[in-house]
Amino acid sequence: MTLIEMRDVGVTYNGSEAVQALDGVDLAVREGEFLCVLGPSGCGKTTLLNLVAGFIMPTTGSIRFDGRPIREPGPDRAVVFQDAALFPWLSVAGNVDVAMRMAGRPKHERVQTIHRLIEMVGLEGFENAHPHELSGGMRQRVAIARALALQPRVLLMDEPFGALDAQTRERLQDELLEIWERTKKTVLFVTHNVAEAAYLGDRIVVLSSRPGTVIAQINAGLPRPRERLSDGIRDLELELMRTLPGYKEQPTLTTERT
Amino acid sequence: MTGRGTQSWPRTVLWTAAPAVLGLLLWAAVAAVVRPRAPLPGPVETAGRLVELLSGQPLLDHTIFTHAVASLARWIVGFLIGATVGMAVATLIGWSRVAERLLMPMVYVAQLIPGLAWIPIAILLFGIGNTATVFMIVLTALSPVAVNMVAGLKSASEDHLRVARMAGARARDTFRHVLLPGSIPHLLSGLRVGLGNSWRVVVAAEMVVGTGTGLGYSIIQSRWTLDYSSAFVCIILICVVGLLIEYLGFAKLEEATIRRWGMVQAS
Ligand SMILES: Nc1ncnc2c1ncn2[C@@H]1O[C@H](COP(=O)(O)OP(=O)(O)O)[C@@H](O)[C@H]1O
Ligand SMILES: [Mg+2]
Repeated sequence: MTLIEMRDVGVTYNGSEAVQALDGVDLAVREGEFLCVLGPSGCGKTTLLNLVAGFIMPTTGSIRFDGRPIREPGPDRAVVFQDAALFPWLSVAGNVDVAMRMAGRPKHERVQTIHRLIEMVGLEGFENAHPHELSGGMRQRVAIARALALQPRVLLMDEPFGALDAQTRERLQDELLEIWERTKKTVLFVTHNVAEAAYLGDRIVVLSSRPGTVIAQINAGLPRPRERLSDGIRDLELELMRTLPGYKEQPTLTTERT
Repeated sequence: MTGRGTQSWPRTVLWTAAPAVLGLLLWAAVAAVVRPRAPLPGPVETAGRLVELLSGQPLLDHTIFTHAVASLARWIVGFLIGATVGMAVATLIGWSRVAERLLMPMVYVAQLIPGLAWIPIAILLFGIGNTATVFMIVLTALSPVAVNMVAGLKSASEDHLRVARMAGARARDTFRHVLLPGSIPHLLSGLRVGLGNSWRVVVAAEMVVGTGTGLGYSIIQSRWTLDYSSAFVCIILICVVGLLIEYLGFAKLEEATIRRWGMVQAS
């Protein structure tokens, strides 16, 4: 079933000069799938997520969520922001709790959910820590727990691991896949990292440089759990790289593995 | 900061004491030069008078403690009222566009008016006495608290507001859970400024509004009693309170808040 459908979507920002971020984007996200959107920096990935989140409205075209046009943000579409965007004055548990409070969830439900989610993202024992005491990876775990606390139908993830070191990033990718398999949430995951898209996605949608348009949709077709250094992943990475704008065939190609 | 931060404590004591010693020497020198023409008390006379007053000798019908407590009480009461009203005004401004349009210019302009400029109006409204003094303190404390808290409310990051929006928060909850806590570091610096400013105004207002008690009142009365060393004692007490506000009052609290609120990275 199609959960999110974008038809001919364009976004133009009207600042001191108009910037067209997206142009004619057609995209369908199926319920339960892990969809990666891959594209170079500045191609409109964040813009695309903001549209689905309901933070901004398209200049042209239409977006439907579960068959209805998106008019405003809501807890059915939870965002994991690029830099976590936790409230620094609240503890880990407080950050998860406040999202549910603002969503109007009753107390008993919140108490149960907090501990289950903090455990799910591997932060037991850090309930009372504050964001400034956490590493970047831990902050993103909190952001994931907070998003899940809203019981969304889709997780919108904006390069959530982009600022992490390689080791932490791979660990969080694995944990995210585990959470995804456990919760069966739809995930719309945006990244500029080829290896990340190849490792995570059921499907990968490749965007062109600004203004972003869909230039390829590739089915990963790889079984899970995946092996990072397997031939299947390498082939997929190569295929993705060839579709990306600015790709030049090189005699000896080393796959990016950041 | 390694060189300065790690210096040994005798050096620290030395460098803390040195300016005080220099100040006292300058004071003594000026007093010695002026003495033939005017009875300016030097540090030694003032210290003697300080001991006398602290041991309970009356000054203008009251002990020095009564004067100090009177000033402190006016200050605290005025500050608490001013800060409360300031926070209420800021909340209103942060809450409603209309209130912002109407009130913000007033608050902003009020901030530019020195507290003492309100003296004629204070006396006109409340007559000479305690209420007029407190009124000026209220006005002095109100503006910095309101202006800074409004700045704090406006400093909310786009992403933080989006977290509230994606949760489907009502305006009230966004205000309570995002805007208000986010404004606290700014609010604290507003409170600190308001506290310091209003202390200065207490002393000055007491001089003009004739309150019968208070450190400022005691200083100005020395014109008639020619008890200049008592005036100096009062000035010293005023400085001590000022220093306590600076270093004890909010500094630590502000530091801790700023660190926790993530405005600087904890090192
Ligand atoms: N609010 C905005 N106003 C004007 N231009 C913007 C705004 N947000 C993004 N842009 C521009 O739109 C383009 C796409 O931005 P973005 O969606 O953030 O790209 P990405 O997330 O892929 O890096 C960029 O060129 C960016 O500078
Ligand atoms: Mg982006």
